[in-house]
Amino acid sequence: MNQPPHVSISGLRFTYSDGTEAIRGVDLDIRHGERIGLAGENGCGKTTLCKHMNGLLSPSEGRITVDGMDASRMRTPEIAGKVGYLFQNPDHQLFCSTVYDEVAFGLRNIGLDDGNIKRRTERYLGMLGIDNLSSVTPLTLSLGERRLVTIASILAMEQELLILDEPVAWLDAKQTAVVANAIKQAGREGRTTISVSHNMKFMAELTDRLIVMSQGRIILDGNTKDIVSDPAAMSRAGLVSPPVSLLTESIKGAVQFTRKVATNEDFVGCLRDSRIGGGAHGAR
Amino acid sequence: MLTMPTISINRASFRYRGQEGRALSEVSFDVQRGEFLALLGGDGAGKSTLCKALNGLIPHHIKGEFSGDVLLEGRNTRDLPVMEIVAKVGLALQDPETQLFTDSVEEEVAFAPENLGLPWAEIDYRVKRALESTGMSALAEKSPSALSGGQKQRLAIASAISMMPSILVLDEPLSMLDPRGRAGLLSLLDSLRKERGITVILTSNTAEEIAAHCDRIALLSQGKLISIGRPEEMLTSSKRLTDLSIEPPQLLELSHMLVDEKIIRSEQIFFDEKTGANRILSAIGGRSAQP
Repeated sequence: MNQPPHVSISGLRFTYSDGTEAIRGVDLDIRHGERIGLAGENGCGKTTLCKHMNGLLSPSEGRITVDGMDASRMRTPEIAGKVGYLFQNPDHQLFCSTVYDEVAFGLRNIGLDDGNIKRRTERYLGMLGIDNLSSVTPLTLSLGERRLVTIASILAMEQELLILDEPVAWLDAKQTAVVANAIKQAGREGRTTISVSHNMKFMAELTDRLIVMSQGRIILDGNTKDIVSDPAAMSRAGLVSPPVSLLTESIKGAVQFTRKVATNEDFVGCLRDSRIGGGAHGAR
Repeated sequence: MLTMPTISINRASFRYRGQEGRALSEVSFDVQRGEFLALLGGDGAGKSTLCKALNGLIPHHIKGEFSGDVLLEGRNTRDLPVMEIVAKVGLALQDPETQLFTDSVEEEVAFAPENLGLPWAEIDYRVKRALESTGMSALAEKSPSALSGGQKQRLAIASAISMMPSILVLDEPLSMLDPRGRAGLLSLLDSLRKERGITVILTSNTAEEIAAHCDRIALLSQGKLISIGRPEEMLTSSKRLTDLSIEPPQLLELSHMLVDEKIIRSEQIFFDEKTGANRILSAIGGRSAQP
């Protein structure tokens, strides 16, 4: 039962060369298989924190370990085998001439045989609904499609830790649903997922634990639904609860809610409970 | 008496060079001065192409086949010099990185007004105001490349505002902004309209948040205009929006669920918090009054 944390961060501080103190003391343990959401205002240090977990940045102070090993001392192939990292901007990671090659690139690098490369590439192109684009040049695609290509290439590596920086920004409703399913699937396969997003509806559906940062520090860390359904706490952190949580807050004096409301299903469930419990609701 | 529309689009079509299908297909609509029109659609709906046709990038710079007309205050963009179009129409692109190129935030915002040959004091005033209204003043000295994704997006918007255009076109400006940034931008647009009568065109793939601020919504799909009207006319079916790959407002989806649960009636659907609270409370209260 005493499995060591998947990621352990202690006393982390990071200052960029221009003097910006992006991380000002972060302590954090992430367990295997957790579905984490990371939120906070623009510039609060979310991306900088993530870049420490895959060794792109080394701490100015403090320590970060992945599977018990110091992330800043691991060699690139070693950490790349453990941590998948989706950049915020898809154009920072696209460079192959076809979508297929883009997804296969990492798999070739880790020395998979051709059969496995083909199987995995096809699986993830299919999962992201872009199998029809496999021979297309990524840079001719729309921003949303380019995003799907980068997500497919990260998922195909099947690392145990997935860090997804703004996975659904720029995606339309259909693409968002596809990506949400793919992230859920990764979670079911036991992979640890860290999703960075401002979209609280997405967070409430896809993560169990929410970490909120402000000015380089963690200011909230707890159950996602508990946090997002508390408009006052969210507002103190510069965030906004999903509309359904705000609606709940505005009528809770008149309607009894038996549980936290972070999703539409929570809301309807509460109304059903209160009907069963003798509350009176109904369309006239 | 009818006033001339600020923007008049007449059967505009565009096919990018080297691409098979048309990115924009026979789109026509008018926008009045001071109006806020939201263009909603999924990936590939033609929103960005339409934005580029509004500020003259199409047909002046982007290669392809363009037909139809875009009139700005009655003048055809084909005949207007680009300098005149960019002074009228401010555009912030979807991916802010494609438009940032100077060494500091301040220089980035000053670049376009400098090119208009404005007096220094006027440039200084505009830069300060644009940075202030986008919450970027504290970052004025920073290099754009050192900014976070959301900050870059604000910078692109500040650069568009600094031109003090009469028409502001923002392509997916909300996608990378944090909630405060989104609320701040929408209230900035409200005040720009009120103070200066500016016309706003904003694209999005989500209907959330925008409905309370815009006058009309245009639904686009595969380059075509599907429908255009007031938010309450356009946001009546979350399935219709989802079919167009547009994220419906969460409360519109909730109201459909409440209809299924027979808590409200189908004509009582809602997409905003205030209406939702009233309708739910009156449904519950009404039933309670007749036990």
